[in-house]
Amino acid sequence: MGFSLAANIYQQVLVRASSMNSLLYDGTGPGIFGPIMDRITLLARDLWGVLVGLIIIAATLAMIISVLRGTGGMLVGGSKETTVAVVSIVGVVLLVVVAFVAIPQLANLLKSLQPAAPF
Amino acid sequence: METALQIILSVFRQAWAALVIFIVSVGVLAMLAQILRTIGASAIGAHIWVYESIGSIASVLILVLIAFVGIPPIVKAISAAVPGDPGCGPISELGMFASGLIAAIAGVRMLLAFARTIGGAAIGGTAQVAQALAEVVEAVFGMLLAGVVIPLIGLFIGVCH
Repeated sequence: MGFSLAANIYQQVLVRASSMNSLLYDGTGPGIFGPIMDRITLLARDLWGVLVGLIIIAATLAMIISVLRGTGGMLVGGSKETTVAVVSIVGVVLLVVVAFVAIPQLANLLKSLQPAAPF
Repeated sequence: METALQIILSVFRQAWAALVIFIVSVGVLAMLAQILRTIGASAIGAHIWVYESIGSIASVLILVLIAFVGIPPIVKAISAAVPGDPGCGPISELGMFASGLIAAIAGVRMLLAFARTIGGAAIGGTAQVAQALAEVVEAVFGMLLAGVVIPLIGLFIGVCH
């Protein structure tokens, strides 16, 4: 009698576990971690926007500083200073291009490399 | 046991997927933040910061690639290293259950360690790759215990013949 009761309980546990399995995971998304991931993704998007804005501001200020430096160099006849300022402007433009063109491509590459669970 | 194992493994698979998304997000944001740092450093003429930022971008990229390309083969290898049908009766079932569970925990722990490492590298902190490798060794030892030693104990005490 005790053995059949244990078998019934075991069967009930399996049935409930099977229904919970379909509830937890439908094979399409992160399942029970979905709400957490939604929040993380939302936060990451906000941070992306903030960083893009900061990069634009920093690049603009860096270019203005370089122009000022180049102008000052020209004023006092410092050709090297002007050259460095022009190179700095080119460097800032290159960095902005890397940030806005290369990093999204790298992100797409990393997304395509996402591994499935190996277990 | 098999059904219970599949349920637990599905939860770990979801955790794996969530960690992968987290790693991609943190890695991309870290690279963008380091670009911002590079622009700021070049504006004020701080060359060492520029070198550090470029090094951080490279390290984040390498860590993400190691996490995505290196961890799955390690987990598959340690899963394949466990005997397919250890022991007999309930010992066999328990051994399979434990080894499957340990493989899942090991995979998630390794990915978590790399996520922490990437987060640390993103803010210029110390790397914890050594901890990730130590967790690999722990996982191998645990799976060895579950898949080999428990059946041997069963044989020794006379449960399995």
